[in-house]
Amino acid sequence: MATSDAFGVLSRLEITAAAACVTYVERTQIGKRPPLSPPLRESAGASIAIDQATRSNLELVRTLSGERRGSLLEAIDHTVTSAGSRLLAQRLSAPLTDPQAIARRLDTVAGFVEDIAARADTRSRLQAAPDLARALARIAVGRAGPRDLAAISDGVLAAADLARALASLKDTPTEIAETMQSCRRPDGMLAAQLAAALAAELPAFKRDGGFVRNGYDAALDETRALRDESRRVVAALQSRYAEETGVRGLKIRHNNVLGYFVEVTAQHGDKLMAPPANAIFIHRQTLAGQVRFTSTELGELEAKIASAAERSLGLELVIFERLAASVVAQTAQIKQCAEALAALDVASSLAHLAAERDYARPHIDDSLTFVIEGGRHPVVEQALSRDGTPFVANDSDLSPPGDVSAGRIWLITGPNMAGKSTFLRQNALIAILAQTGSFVPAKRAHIGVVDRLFSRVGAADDLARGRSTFMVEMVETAAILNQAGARSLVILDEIGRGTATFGLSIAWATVEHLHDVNKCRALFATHFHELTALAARLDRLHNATVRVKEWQGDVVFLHEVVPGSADHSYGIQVAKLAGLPSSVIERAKLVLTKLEQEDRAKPKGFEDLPLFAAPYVPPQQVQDDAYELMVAAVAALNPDDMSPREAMEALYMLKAKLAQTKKK
Amino acid sequence: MAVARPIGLSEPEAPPPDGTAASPSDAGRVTPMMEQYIEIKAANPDCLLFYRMGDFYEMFFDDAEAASRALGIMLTKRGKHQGRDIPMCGVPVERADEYLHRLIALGHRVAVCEQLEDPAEARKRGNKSVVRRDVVRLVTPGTLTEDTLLDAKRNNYLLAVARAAVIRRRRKPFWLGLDRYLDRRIPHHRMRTRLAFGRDRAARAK
Repeated sequence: MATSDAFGVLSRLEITAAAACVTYVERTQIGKRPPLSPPLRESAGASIAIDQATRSNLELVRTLSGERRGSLLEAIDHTVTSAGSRLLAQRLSAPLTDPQAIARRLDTVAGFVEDIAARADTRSRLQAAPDLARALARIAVGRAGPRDLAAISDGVLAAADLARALASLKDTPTEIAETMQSCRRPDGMLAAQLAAALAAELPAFKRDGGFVRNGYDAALDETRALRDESRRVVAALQSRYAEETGVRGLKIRHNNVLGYFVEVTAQHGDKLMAPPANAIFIHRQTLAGQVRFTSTELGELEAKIASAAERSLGLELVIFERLAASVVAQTAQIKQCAEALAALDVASSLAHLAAERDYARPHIDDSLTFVIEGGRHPVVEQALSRDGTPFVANDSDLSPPGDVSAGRIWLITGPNMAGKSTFLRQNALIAILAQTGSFVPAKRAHIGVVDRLFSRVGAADDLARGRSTFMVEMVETAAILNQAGARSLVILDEIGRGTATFGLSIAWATVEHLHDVNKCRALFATHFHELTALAARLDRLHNATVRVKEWQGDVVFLHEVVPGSADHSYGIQVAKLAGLPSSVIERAKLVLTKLEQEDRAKPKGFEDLPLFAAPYVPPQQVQDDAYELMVAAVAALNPDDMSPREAMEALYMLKAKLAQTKKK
Repeated sequence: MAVARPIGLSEPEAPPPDGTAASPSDAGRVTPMMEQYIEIKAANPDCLLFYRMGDFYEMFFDDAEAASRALGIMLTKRGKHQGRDIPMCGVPVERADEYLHRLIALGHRVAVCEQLEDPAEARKRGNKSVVRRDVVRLVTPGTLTEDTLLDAKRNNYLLAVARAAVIRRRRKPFWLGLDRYLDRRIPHHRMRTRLAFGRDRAARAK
């Protein structure tokens, strides 16, 4: 571990885990090691924290049913190389939180959006670039074929060409300038050397031979000539035998069992087995239609051919190892080059997407702003456009009002199927896309960096772990209420659905907690209309609804999000759309009217709701100075790097500090 | 001391077939080849052993039974060991990748044992001598390199978790796409959830 200093300061745990990985790789590869880069710490805060439930709910890289089709990744992936596709998936899974780093990525995409010619050129050049990273890994572990060497040569050449082509870009963004440098890093001689050595048509395996170009290696050319020469001698021998025996159909053939042999049709067999021919020909095999022989001369020739072939394969394998070694010697440069190609692919493909789908560059900063104008759902929009249906764009604004440092909560009511969930998700997806460094499906977007994203969307039973819908919902909601902060973005869809009063009370308390304690930016969809009353008391709560129109007793969805609240839920109309028997619909209408009459009979202001009768007491703020001080002191400790003695001393120090602050 | 245990992202759920049934006790009746097999198998107890015999990779004993079940290939017999038939099944070398793929997807690890010399070389050492063989590679889900075994559009991760002995319930996992890692401390009881998004591929394969 003496060399670990070169990696910067790694803790003992980090070294242990890294060593475990490398040991495992070496054990499975029997001593060989694929190209490894020095470890790079990715600190927990560098990317948006997205928990597992949110990841699967939002269907980022795969859908709930586990497929790539229908996921956000599938919708935005226009990459032309597999390495680019892998990098895009990786970036989408870990969107950044540093506005500057995000801006750098966006600059690159913007560069390709503006310069249409450069974008098209880059994409077509990338198409010709093979998967450098994987070819390199195979070469390093000694499992490569001739095609992997060709991949390195083609890839490195394509990268150099691309760098030359990009040099014509006006005011090059930083990321492109860096990738251009990386593209030029592998030694040009290497590609030239590989190209000079490899034949035009390559076999899949090196053991097949024939992959070294004629004229590359004198010794190899010589043995090959010998082998080919011997083959000509075989041909000459065949015509001589045919002449001597007078059997014009006599052939010299080759198979894996007998090697080279003389073959005549059955009717001529006897002739070769009788004197004088039997002095030359030795009978080997009689088939239904043919008789096969060998001869001393043919045997000798065969040995010569075989040894020439074996020698030339041996020479080719030596050349292969030498070329592979020269590739391995440039591992670091080739890896960087591969990463640069992938980054260019991601940027140019995102630019392609932005241009094709009319996406806009988001503005990302350190504020708590969250304004989206004309936002669209990237996946739903594409699905609709396949049917020729336009997607109804919607605005959202969760920015803190005035100079408050806490974002708004939008409470969205409206009937089922009106598009509440789509609206909720599209805002989360736009934030993710923006922080991934992509343009977004909106007219304009201004987002203060989101550091955590939570979503509770839909309800899925987690039967495998024996938890009911309600339990899953509560566990996820608990996680949000316990962890969300001012920088978080929270998406809650239908909390407490299906558990009437009980559900309403939980939804009610959840909204209050989000508003007063978490102070996060949030979108909350619900069918509990009672909740809209909360806007009167919670100043950062904004009511919004999805517009519908009633037309001749049917409901028409407009998919438009407007301020205000839904007057009723149109549940019966939706049920009718879904095909419930008309007798049931009629009966339901009757029951509803009766219920509504009873309801109106009672006086109703929201203060009458039992929930408002119970006064709301905001949770105690316990963060005085002493508390802060102690928290800071404890946070500064790192138990992993302490000896038992140091740990004891730290404990005494903490006790002393506590006593001091108490005295004050 | 910190303890580290490397794991592939998909550990086999079923206990790996062990080689206990193949312990050489009745040495007098063990053929030289079977002796070699048992020795190599003993060195790789947690893997299915692909034992190269000419144009086939053969599996014996428990490995053969597990593989024939997993791949739906015919289980046959080859000779006797301690008076009992030796179960055997095999896959042709030409199509080995395809079978490897399926075994890996099911969470198995495979040790590939090759012939290290020409059979003619072995014969020169005498009639009873066996071709030299050894394991050249362990095929595990986290260490694949072949295009035929990998999804081109998907990163393949290997994860190592180090457990801190000082705070018992904290672990530090590393993402390693062979070059990147993530510094996250995760309470022990949350491990399964946090790692879930890396595991689901294996889970779905089951």
